[in-house]
Amino acid sequence: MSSVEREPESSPRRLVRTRRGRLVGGVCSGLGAHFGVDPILLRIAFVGLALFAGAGIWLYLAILLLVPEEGTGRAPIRLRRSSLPSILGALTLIVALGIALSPISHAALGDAWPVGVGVGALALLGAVATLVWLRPAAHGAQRTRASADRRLVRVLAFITAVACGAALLGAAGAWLAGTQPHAAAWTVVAVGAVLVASAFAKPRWLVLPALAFALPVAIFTAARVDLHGGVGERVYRPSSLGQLRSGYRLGAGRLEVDLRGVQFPAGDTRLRVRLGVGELVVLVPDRVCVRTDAHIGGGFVGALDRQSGGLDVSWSNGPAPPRGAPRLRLEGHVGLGALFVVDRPLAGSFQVGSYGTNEACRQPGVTRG
Amino acid sequence: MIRAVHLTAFVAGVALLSLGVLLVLNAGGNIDLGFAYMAPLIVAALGLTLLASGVQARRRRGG
Repeated sequence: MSSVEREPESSPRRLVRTRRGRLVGGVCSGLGAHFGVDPILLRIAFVGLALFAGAGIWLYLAILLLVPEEGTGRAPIRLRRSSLPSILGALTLIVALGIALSPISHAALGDAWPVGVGVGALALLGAVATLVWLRPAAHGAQRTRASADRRLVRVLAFITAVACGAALLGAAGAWLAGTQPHAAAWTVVAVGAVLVASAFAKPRWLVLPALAFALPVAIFTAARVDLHGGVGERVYRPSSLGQLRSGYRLGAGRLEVDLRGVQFPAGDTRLRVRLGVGELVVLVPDRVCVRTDAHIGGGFVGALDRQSGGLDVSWSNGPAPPRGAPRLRLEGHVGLGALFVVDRPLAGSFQVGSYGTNEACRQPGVTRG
Repeated sequence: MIRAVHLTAFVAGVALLSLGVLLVLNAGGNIDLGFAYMAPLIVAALGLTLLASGVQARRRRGG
């Protein structure tokens, strides 16, 4: 007895925007009929996605334009599978140009919005491309639900395997860039040379692993991520100046340096804290004037009465303390992640002034730098 | 026998070679690459590779 069951005649073979049960353009009802999902859930998902920079609206519009309406067989915009890479490539170059020409990026990408727009656009296009790509290609033959399910499982297994492999290569590239930047850079040169040479031998599959390895190297290099110092969570609580090291560092994870038990002497005391990836928290006593020099490859920095976020964040707040008063000169470097300088442990999100105001620097007659 | 060049691999290779040279110069302290310069380079490398992939597909189709 065959377990294969035929689809009802009314069930749409291709993804189409249905006329029945539509509310606006038949997108959700069409997707629901095609994938066997309740359209109400899809409508909720679209509304939810719309909250993320309008992604749901853009995705809806894209499907509206690219997917044909039931009975017509033609979409407002006809997108052939083979033209997708070209369109994606052109759009990606436009995004790259936009970032490069942005006045923000020339100084320092203090705000991450151009990258966010680029990533969002790529994600959106990827979603649309996937939908179009997975659309059944054959026009004549009846397809059974069982074979469609098998195909879906195969596609999902393949995507999972590719994603896992790419993630592993990416992690290897990131680790190498964070520990041996010279070796990582030369490896990218070698990978590029191998790719160029392989272009004459047709090993098409090499492109993806090469990019999966090289791009994290570039990103970790740009963020100046240094993964030396180990991985995990480290908490240091020196109770006197004698126990205070000249610096603390961690490769990846969470690093906390609690200085509230230290009696700082008059004048400057320097301290360097470095973290490759993760969260770095420095707890300072409220009776000490703190000058923070922060360098963040990508992420957020919140230091007492000041905060900033984005890419290539580099700033100093240099208040001058009263003569003879103690001052802590903190040099914080985080590759990717967050740096917090606070007067008590973080509970919730950082707000300027809610974790100390650096009052020790604001004595009468003292000018702030 | 001379094979046709696989355009995607060739363009991706050239892009990575260029990126690699910049990374070597950066690691040697000759230039300073932050995200402000690296971000458009990374996205451009991806874009060029995708464009080449599109041209390759068109060429395969004979269009």
